[in-house]
Amino acid sequence: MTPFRLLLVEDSANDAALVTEALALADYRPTTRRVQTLEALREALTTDAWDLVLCDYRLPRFTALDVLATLQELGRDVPLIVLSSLISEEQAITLMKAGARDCFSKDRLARLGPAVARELEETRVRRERARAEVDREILARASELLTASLEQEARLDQLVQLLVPKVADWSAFFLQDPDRAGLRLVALAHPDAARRSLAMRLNDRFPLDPQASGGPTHVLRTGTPELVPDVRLRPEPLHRDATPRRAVAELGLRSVVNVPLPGREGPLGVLSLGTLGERTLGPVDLALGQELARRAGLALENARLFQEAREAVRLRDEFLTVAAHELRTPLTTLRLQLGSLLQRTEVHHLEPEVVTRLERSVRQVRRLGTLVEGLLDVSQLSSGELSLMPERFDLEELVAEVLERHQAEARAAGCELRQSPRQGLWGTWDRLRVDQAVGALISNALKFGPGRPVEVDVGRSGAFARIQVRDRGIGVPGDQVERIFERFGRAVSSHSYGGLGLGLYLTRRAAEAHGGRAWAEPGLGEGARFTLELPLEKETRE
Amino acid sequence: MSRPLLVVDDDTDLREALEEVLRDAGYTVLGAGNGLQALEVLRKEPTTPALVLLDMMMPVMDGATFGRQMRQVEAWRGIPVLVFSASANARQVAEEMGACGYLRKPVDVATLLDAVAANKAPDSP
Repeated sequence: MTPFRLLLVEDSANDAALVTEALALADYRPTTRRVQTLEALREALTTDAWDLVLCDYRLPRFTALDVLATLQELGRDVPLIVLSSLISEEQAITLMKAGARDCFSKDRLARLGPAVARELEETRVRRERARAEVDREILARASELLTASLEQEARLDQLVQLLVPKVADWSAFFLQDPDRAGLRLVALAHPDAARRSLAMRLNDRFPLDPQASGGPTHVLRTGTPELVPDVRLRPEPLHRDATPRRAVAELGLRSVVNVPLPGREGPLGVLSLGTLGERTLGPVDLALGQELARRAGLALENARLFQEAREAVRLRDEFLTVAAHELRTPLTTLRLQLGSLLQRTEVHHLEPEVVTRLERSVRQVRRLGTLVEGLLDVSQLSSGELSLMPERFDLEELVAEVLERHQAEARAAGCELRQSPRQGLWGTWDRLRVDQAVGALISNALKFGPGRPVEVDVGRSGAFARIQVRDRGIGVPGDQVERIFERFGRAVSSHSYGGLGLGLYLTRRAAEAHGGRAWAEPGLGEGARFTLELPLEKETRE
Repeated sequence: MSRPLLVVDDDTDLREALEEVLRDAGYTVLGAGNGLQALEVLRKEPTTPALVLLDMMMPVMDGATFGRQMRQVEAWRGIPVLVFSASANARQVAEEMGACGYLRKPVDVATLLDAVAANKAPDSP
């Protein structure tokens, strides 16, 4: 028969013996404690856990009704059966209404066995349900905590609090500590402040032995969860030295559960649950601990990945800034040297072949400069807005200039560059940014539509000046028309087409800084059309 | 007598390239590798330069410090400074130090000569 813990409220030793005998007849040999006063009852209920209360109806200074009231006041879910030699039907009804589970005469003790069996079973079911409810609530609150973007250790601190005192008397998170080649205590919930600080000090002074045969470090090493119903029965102590061993004993631990926090590359740490005194932990607690650890591990892993990704982006931007800055000095030297050489060739009438080669070098150095500027603009943009320096100019004239600059590139690509007839289209924009934006659209068209003409139309569209660049190349797939405007975005493999993938991104950012837009339309097998719109009125932001 | 230009930049190749271009254009040019050397040149040179072309990021003494120290000497206070920087905030730096203008690296010959001509002090002060 199932062992259980019986609290017997009875002033007569003889009657107590009768009850024990009746239970033995039904094959029950419970751990029993007899109390005779309300004070003793209260003390027993507060310090220990009970499965059943058997109670005489009338005792020297109180009745079974007072016992029921005490149970309810302390919030203990323990069934109570009243046994009495003298009890009227009316009294019995009052008792049942007050919450007694059963009520019968002492001369009918044969009923006791079946009544106890029923109550123990019902209590077990009720307690399991209540526990499942507790677990559900803890897991739900844990998930809430873990998804909130809080500081990692603060989150773990709140998480351990959830478990105490509902499930365990104390709870702790240990995280892997590379400096100590073991575990570091990062969060601890314990009802007793003195013992809490003792545990913290203990952890600082005597780190857990990484090679221990049990406990948190063993769980970390093996990845296998551990349930120790009674730590006093551990085959080997967790600490080899006597001092920490005594200190651990002072913590008064009874049961512990240690579960690993799963990470992609092995456990990230360990979640510990423990009890003090008579309370013990079982498989249900182990299961809850594992589920909680799984969720915490996932959240920690996500937080780490997010942190790493953010750091990588920061490093990239920093690198771009430094690289662009460093590249500018040699570029300046090269430009000036080539520029002055070119001037001298004019003066000294050097061979045309030398001039051609110098001009080609100048073009390439200028192109290098554009690439470097693009990198720097991008890293600057990731930290804020593009700043504009507006001035009034003729957009058609600027487009003509840009086309002129791209003639050599167009010839190399076998493209004819055509501009719509010029009528003059004045407005106030940042000349340099618009120049870059138009240049990017034309370079893009030449790159993806070689051998075919590229048409550039400049005109008005409502309150906007509109530049359209149309090529007859490979076109842009419908699902890529937005992606190509992203930073480092491209619709094609970087193995087949070079470039940094920055031109269109900068074009769009320049358009937006002016209060305009830039977009692409996919051509169905007949190339693509890119449009840049800039406001004609003074909407330009400084 | 025409007043010289002072080019301050720690990159020797770049400084010499600048000096060559400016000499080709008919200027007398002095060079310095950092702010401290530039102050030294100012002290030794009998004629006050018509313009300082000033790099910002330099070892020993940077452009900003040089600018401040130069302005503390009465005779040098009026020399126009053209900030010549690779940094994205060259314009802001130039405004903060009260420079007459700025050039962002890289520049081509024409832009450089235009900016120098527009900002240098007249030859007879």
